[in-house]
Amino acid sequence: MNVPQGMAFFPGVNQLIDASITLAHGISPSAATLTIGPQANVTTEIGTLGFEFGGASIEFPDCKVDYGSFERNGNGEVWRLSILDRRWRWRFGQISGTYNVRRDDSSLQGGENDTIDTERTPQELAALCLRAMGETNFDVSDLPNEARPSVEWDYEVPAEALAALCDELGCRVVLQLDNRVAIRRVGVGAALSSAAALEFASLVNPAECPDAIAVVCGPSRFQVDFPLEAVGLAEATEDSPETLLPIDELPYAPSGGWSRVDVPYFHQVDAQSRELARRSVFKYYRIKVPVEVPGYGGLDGNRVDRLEQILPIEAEQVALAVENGQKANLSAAVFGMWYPETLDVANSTESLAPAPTEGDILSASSLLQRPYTIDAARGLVIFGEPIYRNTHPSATGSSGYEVVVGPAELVLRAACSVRHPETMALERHVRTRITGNSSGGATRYLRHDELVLTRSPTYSNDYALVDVDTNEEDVNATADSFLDAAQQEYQIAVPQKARYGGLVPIQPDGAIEHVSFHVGAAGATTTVARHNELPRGALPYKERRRIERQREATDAKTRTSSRNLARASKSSPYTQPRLRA
Amino acid sequence: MSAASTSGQALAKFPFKNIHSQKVPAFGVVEIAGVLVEDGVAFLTCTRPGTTLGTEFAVNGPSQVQPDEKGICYRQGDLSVAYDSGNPQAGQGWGPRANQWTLSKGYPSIITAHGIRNQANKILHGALVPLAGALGVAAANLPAISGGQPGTQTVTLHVWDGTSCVAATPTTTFTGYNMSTSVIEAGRLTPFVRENGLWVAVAGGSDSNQKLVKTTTSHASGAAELVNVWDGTPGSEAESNPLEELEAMNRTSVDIDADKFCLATRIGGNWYIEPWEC
Repeated sequence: MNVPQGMAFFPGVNQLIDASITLAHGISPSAATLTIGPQANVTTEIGTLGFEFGGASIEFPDCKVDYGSFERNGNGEVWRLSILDRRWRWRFGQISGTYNVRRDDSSLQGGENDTIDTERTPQELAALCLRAMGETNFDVSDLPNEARPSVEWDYEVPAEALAALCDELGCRVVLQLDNRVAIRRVGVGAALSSAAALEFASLVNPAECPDAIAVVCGPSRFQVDFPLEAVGLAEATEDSPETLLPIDELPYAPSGGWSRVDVPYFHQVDAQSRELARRSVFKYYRIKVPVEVPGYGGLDGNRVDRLEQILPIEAEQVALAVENGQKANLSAAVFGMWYPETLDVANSTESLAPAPTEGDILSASSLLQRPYTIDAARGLVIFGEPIYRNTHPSATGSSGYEVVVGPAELVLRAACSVRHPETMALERHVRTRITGNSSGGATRYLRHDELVLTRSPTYSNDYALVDVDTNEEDVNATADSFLDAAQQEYQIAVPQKARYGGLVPIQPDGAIEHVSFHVGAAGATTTVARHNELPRGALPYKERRRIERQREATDAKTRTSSRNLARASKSSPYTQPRLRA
Repeated sequence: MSAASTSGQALAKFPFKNIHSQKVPAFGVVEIAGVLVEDGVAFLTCTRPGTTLGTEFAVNGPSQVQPDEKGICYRQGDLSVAYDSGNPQAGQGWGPRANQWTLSKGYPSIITAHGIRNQANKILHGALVPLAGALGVAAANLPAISGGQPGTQTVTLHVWDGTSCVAATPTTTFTGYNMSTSVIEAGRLTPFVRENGLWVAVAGGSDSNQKLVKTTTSHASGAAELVNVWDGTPGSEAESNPLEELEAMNRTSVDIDADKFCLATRIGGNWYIEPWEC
């Protein structure tokens, strides 16, 4: 039987001996290899690559010659051309935009209160990328649409942004035979027919499925009422530089204590130490440990014994307030019993009342509205002027009328993360899903630092802990959407490989990962891999993605000099320090 | 100097040293006695107001200050200040009183009261102002200025008790200065003002810018002549004793005969007469 010759065409190429192409998932172009006879030159760089056999034809428009080589063998001199499918163009272009911005409580900024609406579905994000890639005919309907992945594209290559989005949601970018781009779910696609196959093989290649998949959130944020103690600067010695000590332990503490010092002059302190006293006594207050961290569950319950576990603290609370139309964390607040120097003898309050919540913040007398800075790294609150308390009974209405100076009883309400007391590992919320696999595989962890669990206590009027508010429900819901996507990769599937005679127009999809066409003097074949990749078809998808990501990282590094990086970081609204009172 | 913030007002705090044998109570009134420099720091030295009227006062801060110890005081602004008794009301003048740390009503005013801050502990709220005036009675005649040298005399401080002016208790004195050309008689209640660090009598007498005089010679229009000052109760006036004479100008259009009663008026340091009888 005479088998018709398989043909391939590319503008400017003559004497084609054979040709093959393997279409693979992803944003990198597949390469066709053309073996041709020697010819004067190959003048065309870009054109449509066509395969033809027995009346069937498949075309790959907009292909580009990648490179050529030649060799001399038993058949004489042959040339080989490598031609890339039209995805070669996807290395170029840009996309910019920040979407699905998460507020300080991890909720989405969706345009409430006249703010910018950043919420975009995954399908909308994919469409943005595809349009930036120059695509007009695409299908993103398979992309799971529940998650709201945060993206910050700043002159990103759109194809790379799309691939990253698809990776996150368990999908692949697929260039179909009809020249249409589709986003397909990994593992979901058409079945292969074995009836007409020249070869058909089912393989045993179960996915390396972990026993569990877990989304690991960013470091959890706890709002804590940190009790503060008055500390002062001690003189430097040979053994130690300037150090902080509780004020009663300072070497220069007056013999009669601090009760009769003439704040702010401290003339009761020796002249050589007076400047240190003026700089620090009743101005430096340090977080006192142990401290209870509501909502934290450590080795000792919610108790944290060491300062290192909570440093650096934040200059904000977990509690929210509307700022510029959108919810943002309140600045850290200091409250407590202190003498407001109103030429009376009463302190700010008679008891350590809780700091006010949003709404009545200005009405609370215990709220300390004096200038201060928070030394987050050392857990210090440093006031611009001495803050002290009247310890005389007249402060609470008893007889007499005078002020006897003592350290203020202050509380800093601020957020912090917590580290494990032994390993110093940061406490993170982990949302785990059991896969059902019990082969002893460990858990696969997916880092999602943009998701942050928060815990914020509420108190009664007598300062008893009432409840701990949390955004755990919202965080879990978002984490679940990521888990759904990740779990797609571990569907139980039987890898298959089939080879058909002729050119069979089988579309690649989420399950069919490779479609390979070969034409030559012996005819034409179509080879397909489902839940599998052809060994000599192309680099494995994961390897291609690794290379793509590496290339993108290198490009980004080249684009961003250290100076530009610093400038960008400084100007980013996400890195700007928030102003405090 | 540091500042305290009260009701939006920044109050300057001045360091001082208590040089009195008693502790200064919170918000007590202190008299500034001088200055002391220790370790390069200038302290006001403060004491309890005494029987010699001081000129500069301050108010202690909210803490007691033990003898020979240092504290902070206020020297201006709206303050809390301890008072001794009564019911301070807005606009009243309250001032330091000898041998006590508290203000007393009617004493030379350094505080214009706004009202009571704490009645149980006798703390008023008021504006601290410099001591600018005092009422006094010279123990003996306060001589007139002579050759540019003012007359001086010990003056007993008098205070307003709400009805009349009475001698301060305990007796408090100060040195009064007379810059006028008229003698201030002993026993005459005289206002004094603080000028160049001196207590200067306001004019020379109770009617110091107008006097009853009698011409001693014919006083032609446009001429200046010596006239004798008369004083005493109405209807029983007599020539002043010792005799006080003025050189007065007749700027009227008429000649005034000798021995006629006239009203002498001082304008810009010059005396002018106008006849009551011609």
